[in-house]
Parts: sequence; structure tokens; C-alpha cells
Amino acid sequence: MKKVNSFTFKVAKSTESTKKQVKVREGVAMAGCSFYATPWGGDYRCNGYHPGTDSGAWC
Amino acid sequence: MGKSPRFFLTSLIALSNNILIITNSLDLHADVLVSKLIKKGIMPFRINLDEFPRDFEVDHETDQNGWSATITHIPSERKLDLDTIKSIWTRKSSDFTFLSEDDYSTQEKAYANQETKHVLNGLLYSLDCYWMNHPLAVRSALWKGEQALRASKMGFKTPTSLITNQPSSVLGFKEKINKEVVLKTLSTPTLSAEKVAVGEQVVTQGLQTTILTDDHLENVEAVREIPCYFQEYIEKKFELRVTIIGDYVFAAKINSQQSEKTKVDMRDYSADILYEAFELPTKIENRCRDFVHSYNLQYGAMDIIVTPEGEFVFLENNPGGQFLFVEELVPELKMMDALANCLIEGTP
Repeated sequence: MKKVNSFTFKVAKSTESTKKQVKVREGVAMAGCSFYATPWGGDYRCNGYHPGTDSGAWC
Repeated sequence: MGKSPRFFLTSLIALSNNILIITNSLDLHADVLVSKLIKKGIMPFRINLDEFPRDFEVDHETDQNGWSATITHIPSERKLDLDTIKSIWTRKSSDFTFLSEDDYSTQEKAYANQETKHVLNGLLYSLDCYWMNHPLAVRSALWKGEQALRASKMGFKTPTSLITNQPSSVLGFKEKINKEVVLKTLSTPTLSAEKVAVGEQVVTQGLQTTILTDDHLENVEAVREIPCYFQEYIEKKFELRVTIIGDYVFAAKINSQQSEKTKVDMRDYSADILYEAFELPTKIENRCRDFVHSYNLQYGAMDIIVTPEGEFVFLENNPGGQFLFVEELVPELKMMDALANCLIEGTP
């Protein structure tokens, strides 16, 4: 894997290990993210590579 | 041979095809709006860009006397005559999908995307109807450096900010403002992680607004790589999400200081903080509406800090920001109804 070079990526990398995976709260269909049904259950489209996603917790 | 019931249904629906929604197939905001419009007796026409042009037929003719254009959704047989469009809601973008794209070379796919974008924009941009929002207006409104300047000129208080690729400027800025400094992103807090395959992501969780520490600043030389966006940290009493829909203004008070998770950056939706309706001072309400309309936008989601001293500090405006999660948390803010009304009326 390539190293990170820019200041933004270095700061992001340094804080990443302290972050927990952000989850939406109970009882809210979508907390900034669109909910969609899959054969395996619901998903808030928080996962990375998917065209047209809402960019998960950031949307 | 008689017409099938489906033909009559399709024809009937075609008469009310005056609201066009442009989005993708995964967009829940559009799902909710469509069902709301159907309850009001209106069947909008939805183009999911991730199914376009694969699932659509397009005919666009021009001659000396004008133009005619239709788009047909092949699976449902629904046909949209573009000169019947009264309102367009542009909501989400997506990559296009082509009939045989798995067999496309990189070059053919690049051309296919470029050509299809040209086809679609050429078809839609000339429509003289109610847009929420026109993509060209969105494009002009996206740039945070310009937003801050405009907001300031319109009377908002704005944070002192610095965009630079000079390490000495960063250190000088911190010394000058003599306050904590946050690092933010201008384009995307995901750091574009969604644009690369999972195994190729070097940072997966993006960058929240982050207060810089001395440890961070040990790497300050790295700002030479890409210009960075620094801002004075503004103490908050609470935050506001102000959503402008046409002439409607909805303000949600976000009690971000109730949780450590949201104190610096409120975008951690797992935090059990209170969202509630907030009545803006008339002057601020008008200023928010005027700000959004100054870009010829009909929609904008603004982030504002209210300081312990009661000042309203403009952070940014998101011309494509989401609002449904706010309505879910503050049901009295009837934003989806307001959106439906604007699109039905074709006016703010």
C-alpha cells in the first residue's frame, strides 16, 4: 500500500485508529444516509466503493 | 387490435408527467417524494442515472422551428414528452450504465460517459421550467472560499480561515489568531475513499473537522503537497441546520455540545443528541433565504454555529445536502411537503 503524503491524509491517518465505525442511531431510518433493502437485510450505504452512494456517515 | 390496459394506464400517467426527478436508484429522498406525490394524485417521471441510458429511449429532434424530445422508460413503458415538464428536481448523480459496458474498453467507456452527459445536459439545460436546483446554479454555488466571502458581504459572521500550501503561513496563522485551529476539507470529507476500491483505500474513514495538535503540526511541511483549509475553531452553544426549500426556511437546532462525539464535528449520527425545531430571528431567516437565492438556487442546506454569545456564524451551504434525516428527527419540520408543493406549483 502506498504511503500518505499530504498533510490532510497524515492528519486523517493519525486519527483513524481512534475512531470507531460510525453507526446511525436506533429508530432513525437514515441519519444522513439513504437506507436500502438488500436480500440480506437493510444497509445504510456506509460502505465504501459503490457508485451513487451517499458517502455514508458523511452525507 | 384493442389497446392493452397498460397502454391506457401509461397514457393517463403521461398526462401528468410534469415533474421530472433526476437521481439514482438508491436515493431514498426520491422514493419518499415519489410516494408523497402519488398520494397527491401526481405521478412524476424519475430518471435514475445509474440506469441511464440502458433502460431509457431518448429522441431529441431539432430543426429550424424548434425542438421535440421524448424519454421513455423501457421497463415501465412510460414516456415523457419534455415540453410538458413543469418542474425538475435534481437530487443525486451517478455513473451511467450502458447496454454492453462490461465489454467496453476504457476508452469506449470514457467516451460513452462523456457523450451521454452531453446528450442529457443538452436535452435538459435548455428547459425553461422550475428547477430545484439547476445544475449550473449548483456548480456556481459549491465553492467554499467564494461562499464565505459572499456570506460575509451579506452580513453573516464567518470564521477566520486560511487556505495555503505554505507551512510558514499555517504556523503564522495559528500564532496570529491565538486560538485553536481546525483542519477541514473543501471538496469531500471522505477523502475520495468511495472512488477507489476497498483494498486501495489508504484512509478509509475520511477526515472530520479536526482540532490541530502539536503532533499534527510536526507534519506541517506536508501542506506543500496539496493546499489545505484551516479555520479558527469557533466555540459553540449549539448548531443549526437551516434548509431552504423554495421560499420556505426550516431551522433545526442541533445540540452538538451534548456529546463528545459531536462537539467538534456534528456529523456523527450515532450520538444521541437532541435535534429540535428552532425559530430563527427574522433577519437571519431572510439572510439565509437571500443567500441561497443569490445563486439562483431553490434549495440549500446551510450549516450555522450559534456561539455562547448568541452570534450566528456561517459555515457553509450545501446545494445538494440531505434533509430527510433532519425531518425524521424533527417531524414538525415538514420539508418533504414543502418540496412537493414547490414542484407541484412550479414556483417557490
